[in-house]
Amino acid sequence: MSTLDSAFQRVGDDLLDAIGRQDWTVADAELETLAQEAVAATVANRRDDLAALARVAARCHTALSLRDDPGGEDLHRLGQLRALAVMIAAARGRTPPRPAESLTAPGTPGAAVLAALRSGPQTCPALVEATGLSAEEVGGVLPELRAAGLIHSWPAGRLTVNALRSGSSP
Amino acid sequence: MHPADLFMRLWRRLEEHRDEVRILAQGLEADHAGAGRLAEEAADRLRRSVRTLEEWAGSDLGRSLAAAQAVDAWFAPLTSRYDVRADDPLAPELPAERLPAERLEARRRLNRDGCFNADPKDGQLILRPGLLARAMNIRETAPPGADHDAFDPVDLFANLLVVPPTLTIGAEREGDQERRIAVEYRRIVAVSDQDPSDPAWTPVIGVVPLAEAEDDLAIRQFRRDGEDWYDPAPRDFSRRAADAIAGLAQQGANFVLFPEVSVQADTLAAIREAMRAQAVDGPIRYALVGVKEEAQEGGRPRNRALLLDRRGAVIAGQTKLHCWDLDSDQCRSYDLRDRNGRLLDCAREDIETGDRFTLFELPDLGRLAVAICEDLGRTQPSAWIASGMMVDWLVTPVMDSGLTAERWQAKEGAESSRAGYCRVIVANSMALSHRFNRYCRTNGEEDSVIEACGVALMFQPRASEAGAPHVACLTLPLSDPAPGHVCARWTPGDWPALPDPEPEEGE
Repeated sequence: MSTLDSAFQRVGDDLLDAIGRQDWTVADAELETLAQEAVAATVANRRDDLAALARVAARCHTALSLRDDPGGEDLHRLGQLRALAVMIAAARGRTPPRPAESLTAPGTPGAAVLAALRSGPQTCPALVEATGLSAEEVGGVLPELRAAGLIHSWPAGRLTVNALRSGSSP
Repeated sequence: MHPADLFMRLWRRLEEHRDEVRILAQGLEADHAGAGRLAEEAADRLRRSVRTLEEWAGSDLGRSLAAAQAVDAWFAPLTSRYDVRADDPLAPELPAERLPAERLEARRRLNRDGCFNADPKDGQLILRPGLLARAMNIRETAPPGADHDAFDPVDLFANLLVVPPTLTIGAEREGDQERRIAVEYRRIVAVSDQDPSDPAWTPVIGVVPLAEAEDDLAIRQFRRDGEDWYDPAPRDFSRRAADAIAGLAQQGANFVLFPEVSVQADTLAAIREAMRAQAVDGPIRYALVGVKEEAQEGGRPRNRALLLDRRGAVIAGQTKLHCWDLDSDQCRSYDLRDRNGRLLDCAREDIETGDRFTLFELPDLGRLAVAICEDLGRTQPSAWIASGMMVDWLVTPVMDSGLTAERWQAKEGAESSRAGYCRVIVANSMALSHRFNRYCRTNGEEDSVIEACGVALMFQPRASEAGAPHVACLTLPLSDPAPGHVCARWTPGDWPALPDPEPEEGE
């Protein structure tokens, strides 16, 4: 566990303690800190920190939801924790593609696929054959190349055809 | 009109003209450039408005197909793990920010109603890929076959899938009529901390056979209406089940499975309590528990799999859809005798079958289908699951003698994994293996005696036609099954490849 992981967990523990002793001012301050960290980690796409924050939010939410006879103030914080967890999950479920320089660095699957597409549009199985890469490698890099705007695709019946986007440089 | 509602109209039209659509699709598959021009025309109309696209499609089947595929492409950002760079000057036609109000409405409908279309009477329109397929859409690496019989309009769409409201499945018993069951896609909303769409996510699976000795799962037999029936009766294993949950939590298990009819009411209560005890700091996010539910008012019992969340709450369930009636060979193999010691010629399973099949979307696991024992081997809903290629996990709790990579569960599991491109887990108890061994010893088949009893089979689908599924078989010694559970991280790279099935005799 990293130092920051431990620090996140301490915030979570202190949040639960504050709720336990009905110190709502401290509880709200801890929640605000977690929310600020979540936004910062989302903006910077710090995946490990988002994962650690997801664990803390889910842990606190679970602990609070298991309490007997929660009062209105407890339920209010439970709702806030849920909203925080939903935001973190939404951030974790999406990621920006890597920069073009990284995606297309020599020797990478991305570079091989773009090089193969110089000869014209191709489907994924055709790219597997042309590049010698595995289906997993080609299938894994196509969505990222597409999201990065380096290739574009269209349906042809049941197939998906991929082509270099004009202006992109393999 | 929302794009999802237009898609449903177009979908109905395409389904009604399946043969013409197949010919159209084959033409487009042979003319990539022409397909590209048609796709761009449709996308251009959709960029203006849904109404413009609908008017352009009119009653023309080719344009209807292109229009439906344009809507499918519009949904692509929702099925990809990667954010599209909407501000990319090289890609002004990227769909990320097109029809933003409609995109908001799509998210809203999915979260609120569980589907994108406004009227679910014709089915639920959902995203085709499950969570595991968000980083690599299997539809791209494994295109459908070229033969006529393989054509299915579902395969024209990479991002959208219509879950039909009902499905015709086989008769409950030989000689009975086919039945229609309800089909449902259900999102289970919960605070989550797992990330199944991350390709690096490797969950730990635990299986608890629970019924270890022969007497742990009594097979009661009785006569009714002139026929022999069997009725498994699990004993109370509260302590054993709670210890297993605690042990698996220590080993980092995320998903714990109890086999078919291995759990009765007291044991279920103990499992729920043990789940609750590990909920805050433990790793287990779900348990799938094979239970026998006694009827409330004199009816037949139900064979069910209950899904528990990390706090032990029952959040979903699936009832077995097909009975497993035993023939004379099976009665002999499992040494099923009547009260006079006579071997039975056949024995019917005494259960009330289910009338609903549900796909569950679980934030901490992915999209799950449950096929209890016989349900895995029957044509439906297995064929529908396979054709949709939309499930992340297919889990099959069974009650049988030891699993091996050669038995029917392996054949059916591998086939489901192959055809549906999904992960398959079969979870088994151990009680019937003792009966099987007695039969083997009585008949001089010492070579077949089970010593290491297979309690879990795990299949990783191949990623392309050229690949092979990988399989792990987890066993416990029948003579000493301590610690009473098995556990493995989902790392198929370490598992052996499963060879292609050998053709059956006579083929």
